[in-house]
Amino acid sequence: MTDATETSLRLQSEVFPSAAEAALPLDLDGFLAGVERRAFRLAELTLGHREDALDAVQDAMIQLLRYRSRPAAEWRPLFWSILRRQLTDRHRRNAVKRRVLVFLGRGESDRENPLEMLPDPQQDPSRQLLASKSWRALGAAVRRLPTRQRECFLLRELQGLSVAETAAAMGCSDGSVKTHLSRAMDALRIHLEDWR
Amino acid sequence: MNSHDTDHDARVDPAGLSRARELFEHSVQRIDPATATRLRHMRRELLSGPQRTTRPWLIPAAATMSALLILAMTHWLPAASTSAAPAPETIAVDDSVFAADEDAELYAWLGEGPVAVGNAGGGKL
Repeated sequence: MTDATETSLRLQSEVFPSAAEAALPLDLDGFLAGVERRAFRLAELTLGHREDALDAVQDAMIQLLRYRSRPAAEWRPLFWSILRRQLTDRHRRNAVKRRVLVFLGRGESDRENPLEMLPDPQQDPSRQLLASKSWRALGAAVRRLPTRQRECFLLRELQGLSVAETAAAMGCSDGSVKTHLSRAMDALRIHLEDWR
Repeated sequence: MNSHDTDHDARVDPAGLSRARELFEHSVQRIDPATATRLRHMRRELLSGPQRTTRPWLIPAAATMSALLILAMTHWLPAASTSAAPAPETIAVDDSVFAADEDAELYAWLGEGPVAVGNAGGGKL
């Protein structure tokens, strides 16, 4: 086992609380099955649109296939790095489209669809409504963040990658991750307090 | 999370961060069935089917080459075959066939065959 693989395994075990999550995937199908839902929700938070999010996840999976011959321990950091780039590119394109639409006199609401969560039959409807509103508000706040702060918050705080893994996915140093995260938290602080 | 990061998290962790994480985890668990099905199909098609190319220009280029090849073959092959083989007699229709005075035997033969009369007649073939 190489040093890189051993380090990656250690990082994985520190990030994932359960043994099932910490174990290396047996095959690419198992790995993708384990990340597809989380990837979709992260993409949806970033892009604010279900179809865009599905396209982004699909493109990330397609690109990951090019690396299927790599050791399984590398698939996770590779996938999140690929997805991050996909989301950044799409978010940037969407921002340009929105500016064009605004210039042409069409509002942003023509395109955005609210982020939906399947209702929980065991949850009180009023709590469910509050959760849905909070979820949409979280998405709106995340999308207002500057790119690097948004990437850092999603990968580090929501997906749960370690600082080292987040840095690898973002292509920056550990120190940069902490700086971006600190600024993201300051920007989100007001919104996060409303969600308590 | 990495234990070395907990001090940093405690310092910057606002009151609502745990709520944001809870919302995210809840959303992952509560994906609608249609989306979950699409994700599953997407994954299985990707892994079971031919590799999709991330270079989309390859598909039109290959299709264009194939079309050109087919066109070339359909254009070239019939010309080659007609030049090599003699034209069958039944295809060439010229005025000499209808020179009734000179080919009475032909017309007599034609007169002996059944004639298609359509719906009006009773002659069935």
